[in-house]
Amino acid sequence: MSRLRPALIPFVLCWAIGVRAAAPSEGEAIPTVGRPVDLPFSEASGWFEVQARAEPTSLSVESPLTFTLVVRAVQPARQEPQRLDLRQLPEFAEAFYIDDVGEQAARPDARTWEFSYRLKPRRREVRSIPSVPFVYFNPYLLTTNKGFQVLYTDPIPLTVTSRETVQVPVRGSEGAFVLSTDSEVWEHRTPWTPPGGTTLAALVLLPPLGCIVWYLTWRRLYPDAARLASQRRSRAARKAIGALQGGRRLPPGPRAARMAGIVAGYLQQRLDWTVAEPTPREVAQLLEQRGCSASVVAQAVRFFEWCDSARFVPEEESSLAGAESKDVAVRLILAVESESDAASK
Amino acid sequence: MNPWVAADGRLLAFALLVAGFSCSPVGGTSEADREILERLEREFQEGVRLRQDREQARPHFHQAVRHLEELRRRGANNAMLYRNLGNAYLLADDLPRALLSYHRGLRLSPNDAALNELLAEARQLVVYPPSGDLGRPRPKDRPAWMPYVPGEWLMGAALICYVVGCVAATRWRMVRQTRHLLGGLFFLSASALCAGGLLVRCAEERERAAHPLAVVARNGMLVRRGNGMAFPPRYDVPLHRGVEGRLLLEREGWVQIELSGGEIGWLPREAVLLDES
Repeated sequence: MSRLRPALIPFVLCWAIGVRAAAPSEGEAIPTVGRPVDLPFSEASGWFEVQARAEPTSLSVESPLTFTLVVRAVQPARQEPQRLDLRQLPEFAEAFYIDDVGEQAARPDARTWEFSYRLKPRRREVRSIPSVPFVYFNPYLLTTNKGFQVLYTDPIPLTVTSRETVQVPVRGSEGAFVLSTDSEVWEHRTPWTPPGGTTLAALVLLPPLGCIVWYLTWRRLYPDAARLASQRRSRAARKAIGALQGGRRLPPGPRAARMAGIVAGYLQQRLDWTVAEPTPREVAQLLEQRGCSASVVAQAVRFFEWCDSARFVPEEESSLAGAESKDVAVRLILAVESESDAASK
Repeated sequence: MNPWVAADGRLLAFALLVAGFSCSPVGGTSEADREILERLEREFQEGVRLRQDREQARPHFHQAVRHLEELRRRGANNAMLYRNLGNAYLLADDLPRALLSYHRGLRLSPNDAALNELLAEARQLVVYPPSGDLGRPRPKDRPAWMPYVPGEWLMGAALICYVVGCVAATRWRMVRQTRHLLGGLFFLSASALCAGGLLVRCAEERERAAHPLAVVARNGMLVRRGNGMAFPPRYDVPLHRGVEGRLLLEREGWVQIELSGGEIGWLPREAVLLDES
């Protein structure tokens, strides 16, 4: 066996390693040691180069553009590259809305993979598509601790314009566009609530109690009026007293005739009398026959005499004024009622 | 000077002062309050100026809503405030809260014609199911020409009629004149009528307190048969924002509501605004 010269030993070693690298074994596992932790890994193993392109590069805010990441294998790939999630790159996530066009990569040839994304610039201030870091494992390198490689695509300049918007008016009736700022706007009002049971009971009981007190006081102060009021009155008396309230504007003669007629009518109904226009004497006889007291008889005679004098001697000054004559008539009716009730009892 | 007269004058002045304070707004109109009002007017008017462009106008109406809510937090509570609030919510595209605000205003001032009109117009913006009357507000039982008599008015009228009736009946007892008797009967009958109306009003208030107004706040809400997503929908058509109903029950994050047509079902609590004022 020929001995190698010492100066050739390094070259032989390099050749041996190179031969091993030139014929890599399929399915060899990618080491985890040395993998960049802050960048998404493409899962690719081989020797690659990357490019990026975008279409269009002039667009408005939130309009879509197609961004394509092209990965090309320089040497046969041991593992194919997988789609990168651009959302994991803060520069992309912050500047673009990102939609995946399709999970599968396009394959224009056996050594090329094309990954497409739909990007929408978030703002008008977005000036470029940033570089995409493509991380892969290169098993062809002789030093395995440096096998993970990062390739960066070039940034692609963009021109982003304002979005064209269609003006849509605010919906609402004309009344809704009015703001009222009167002083009333400061007021504090509370919806009405019904009073409590105690208050309600007091409100219900107080008026009748007050009226009872008033009535008792009145009776104490005016006993005669109270007695008269408490007497039972016949229908004829009520009707006659009611009729006497009218006729105030008549001259003395006709008024006296009217009152005499009313009282005579009352006597006809109450005492079953048939004389239509009684004289004072006839009235006195009737009342005496029915057992009325002398004072009532005298009262009646005086009333009818006054009526006669007022009717037939108008120029003679009457001894009774209008209102007074009515009171005399009412008192006469009430006196007859009182004595009739007493007699019936 | 008579000391009694002087004392009376002081008393009168004190009474006027007390009356003045009791009628004044809560807390008075401080500098901060006026500033809020100025900012509110500014924002609202700016929104109105930009009304042809919804995107530009809305932020101003949102700000106006913020200022109005601040006024409310500071104690203001009246129909005008709620009318403004409803308008601002409506123009800020928050239809459910607009409806709720109009209802709150009408509760304080039921005969406010402007509020009634705004409520009717806002209801026209609600998207009701195309077929059927599900969720559609029913016309009021009371004719439009008949004004709503507030409870305090009924109470006052009933009391006055009752007192006058009692006085007339007592007077009749004294003098036995028919007109007093008739007057007493008339006023006591009127009092009974007012008391009847008052009872109805009290029942309405109790009903309102027990079952507050509920407004659907989200679009496309299906009314379910029970308080959970596992229960099937009661109706095939969903409800949209602004549909009104009454709260019946609240249980485990769900509310049971009764719609105006008597339909009953469950909705998620967060999808419903309740008038809890």
